[in-house]
Amino acid sequence: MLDITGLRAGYGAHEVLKGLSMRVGKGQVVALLGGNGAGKTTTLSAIMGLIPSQGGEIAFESNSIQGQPAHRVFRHGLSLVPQWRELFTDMSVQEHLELGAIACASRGDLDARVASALDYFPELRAHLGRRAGTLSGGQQQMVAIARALTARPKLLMLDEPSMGLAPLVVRELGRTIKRLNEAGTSVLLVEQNMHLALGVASYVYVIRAGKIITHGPTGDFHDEKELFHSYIG
Amino acid sequence: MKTSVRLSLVASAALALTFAMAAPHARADDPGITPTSIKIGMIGSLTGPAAAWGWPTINGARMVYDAVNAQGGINGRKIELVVEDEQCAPPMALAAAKKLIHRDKVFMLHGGSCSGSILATRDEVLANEVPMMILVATMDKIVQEKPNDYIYRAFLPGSFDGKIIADFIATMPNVKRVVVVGHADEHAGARYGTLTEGLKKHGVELLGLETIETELTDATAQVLKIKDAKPDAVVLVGRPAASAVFLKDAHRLGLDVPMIGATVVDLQDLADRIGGTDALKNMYVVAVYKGPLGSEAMTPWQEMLKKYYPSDKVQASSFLGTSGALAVVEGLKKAGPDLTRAKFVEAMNGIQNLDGGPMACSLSFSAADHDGCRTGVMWGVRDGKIVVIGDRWKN
Amino acid sequence: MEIATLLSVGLSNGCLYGLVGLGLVLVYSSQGIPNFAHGELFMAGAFLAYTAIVLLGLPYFLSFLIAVVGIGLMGMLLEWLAIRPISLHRSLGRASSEVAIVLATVGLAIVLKGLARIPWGDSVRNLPTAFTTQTVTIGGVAIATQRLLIVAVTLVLTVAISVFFARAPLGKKMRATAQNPTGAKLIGIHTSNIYSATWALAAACGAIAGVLAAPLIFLHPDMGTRMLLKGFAAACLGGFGSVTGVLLGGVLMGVVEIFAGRYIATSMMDIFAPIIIILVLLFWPQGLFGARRAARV
Repeated sequence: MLDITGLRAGYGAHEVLKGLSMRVGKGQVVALLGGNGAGKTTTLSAIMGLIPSQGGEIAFESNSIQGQPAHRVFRHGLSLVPQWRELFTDMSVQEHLELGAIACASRGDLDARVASALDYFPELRAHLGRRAGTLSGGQQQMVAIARALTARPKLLMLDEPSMGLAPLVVRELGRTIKRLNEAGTSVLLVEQNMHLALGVASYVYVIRAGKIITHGPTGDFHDEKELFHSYIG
Repeated sequence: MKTSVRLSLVASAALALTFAMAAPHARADDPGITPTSIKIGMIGSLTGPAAAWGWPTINGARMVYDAVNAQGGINGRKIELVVEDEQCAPPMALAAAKKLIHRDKVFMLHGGSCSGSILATRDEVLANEVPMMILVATMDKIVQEKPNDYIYRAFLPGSFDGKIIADFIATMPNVKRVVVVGHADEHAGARYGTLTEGLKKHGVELLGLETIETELTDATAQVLKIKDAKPDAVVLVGRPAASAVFLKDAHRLGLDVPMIGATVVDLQDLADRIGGTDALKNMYVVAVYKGPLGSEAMTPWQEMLKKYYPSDKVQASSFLGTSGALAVVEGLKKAGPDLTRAKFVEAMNGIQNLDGGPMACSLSFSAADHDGCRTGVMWGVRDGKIVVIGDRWKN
Repeated sequence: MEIATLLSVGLSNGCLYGLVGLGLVLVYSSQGIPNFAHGELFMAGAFLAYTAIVLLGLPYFLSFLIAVVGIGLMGMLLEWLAIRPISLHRSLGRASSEVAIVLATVGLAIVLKGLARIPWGDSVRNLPTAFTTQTVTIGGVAIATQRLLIVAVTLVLTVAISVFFARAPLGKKMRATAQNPTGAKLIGIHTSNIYSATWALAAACGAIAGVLAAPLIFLHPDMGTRMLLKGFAAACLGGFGSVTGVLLGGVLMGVVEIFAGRYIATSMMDIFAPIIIILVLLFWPQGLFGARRAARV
């Protein structure tokens, strides 16, 4: 579904990704693990078209999406829930859910889209009228994911969704990701929380210094400690 | 070898430069004059708050020079003009004068549409002994302050405005109390002194001065204030746009006492701006021209403007600078073929009773008095038409 | 009676200030910069209407429409020509690109004013009023019909724009983009187009103000400069954030200005705007009507 080969990208003259290759198959949950500054967020930003890539190839469902700006990448069916959530602080939860689908061609079923997104996060139903800026961190994460879901993406990319969340909430998040996947959404999960990642992913990539250093089915990475050392180096 | 070549090059360049610099002095010529040309620098408010005065007044003077050039110039010399913008701002005016004097090396200056800004050029002009004709700036001291051996004006100065208005009011029946409405700038300030003095002399009480901005957009507050004071007449010393706004609002709010305007405005122009003479029924304006636009006296000048600047709108302000150019041309002619600044100044001081062209006054200068134009005439509206009233009120 | 007369003038002046301020607020909300060329869009609107009404002899309201649409398109074009290239320049940091954009708007203001001088020169022109009846008397107070039109149009426009932001998809996209451009990109919004649309809307508001104001203040290439200052003061009072805030700010300023002129000193009237800007920025940086600072748009 998503095929990346030899991707090079970075910020200005600073190259972060130095020939990264990975793939996400249809219906898979793939985890991309790595330490701080390894290039995880850069990878997602480059896929989504938020930053330009300097080389390599990104293809989604056999179409090249490399070099396309975010709003065009979005149209192919990719959604990114960014690390900092990037909510609209003064808009209500309801508005966020509706906005998620605002750029979609068929919005006649907007209510259905909102309802099915809310099915994953029933807690939000009680807060539909609240401004996003007044919600707790966990609720904001829910809004960010739900906003992405109303677009009905084929591939959902999550950037460290567990960051700043209580362990209980993280566990709930893991269950939600599984349910999403069961409903047919492919997921690319970027995490530092190995426990969450290994719990939901079927395939794991480990990134260090802008390159994939190892990858394989989740079963190959039973020893969390060993895995941890592999990307810390 | 190489060095010596370069040395001799430098030497000859320096020599050439010395000659080039020495040459004009050797011929004892003043700047800006060649056997075939006289360079005159013009300064006007082409942009800024008084921009409406800029090109019209400059072109009204330029057309005289154009006409002279068309007839072969003066003593074989054609007049070359360099025009600079002063934006009605003192520093800009000074910069413009300096540029014209030192960089363009003009023979003389002809300019100034804003009193406050052109005043700032006075010291520079006098220090460099550059003859200057004021374009349309009305402040007295630009010309009248001593010493002044170089600056002339062929246009009614502001203080005379004040006196003409005061004398006119004295002839109006039942006018004992007046309010003055005007700007707080030099332009209006030039008139207040003689106006106050004149009113006092005639026993007319001055109730107060109401300031208006040059960019006035609404005069409701001012009009209501004036109505409170219950004056018998209002003297209006405002620029055209602000005056139009004031008169419009005065009409709307029922302030219907006689109003007397300074030369800054023109009745026809006001009527055009306001859209009709309804608000002007009781308005009198000091006029500088021999007659309204379209009258016999003005026709030759209107045609001249149309000939040289066909795209210019023929308006009241068009000919304010014309008499200045006429005086300059007369001075240049009288100064003779061996033109110098000193000869030009001498010639100017000798001009007596020169016809002011479109101006009602005739022009006379002397070494002691460089203000050549001293009379104006009052116009008013009768039956929707602009007529010359004279210097005494009559119904 | 006198109070009513003063109120009618203060209110309508204030509505104009609010309208001009509205255009400033729109651009500020979306891009975080004051658009110093807004006064020139105001001027351009008035001149376009003048061209249509006086030179081409078209009906007033058609001309009004032409001016608003035309200047809206012009705003879009300006954003595309002068603003977008700077904001897309990746070598600039966010802060320096904002400075560059502000300077670009100052440059635009000078260029537009200069361009206006080419056909229009410096003579002062009159734009006819919307109605042939110049004044109507309401309860003994003579009010210029043009001023009534100004108040009516401003109220309708304020409501329309509030509804537009609350309901219309484009309005929502604009708000989203204003609050979080990255978030907006992630939900498929073409943010560059949103900036163009914002400029178009702001320019159209400027043009409306220009056409409405021109019969009162005369047409001149410099006519926008002073208005920009007043609009800026209105926007400051309104906290540079909300549509209703800027209108209230403008009205407050218009009313205070005229009463101060009448009862304190008329020479004070024009220094009010700069004083208000300074005071508000010093003591109430969120504006008097802008309690929610972050509530952009």
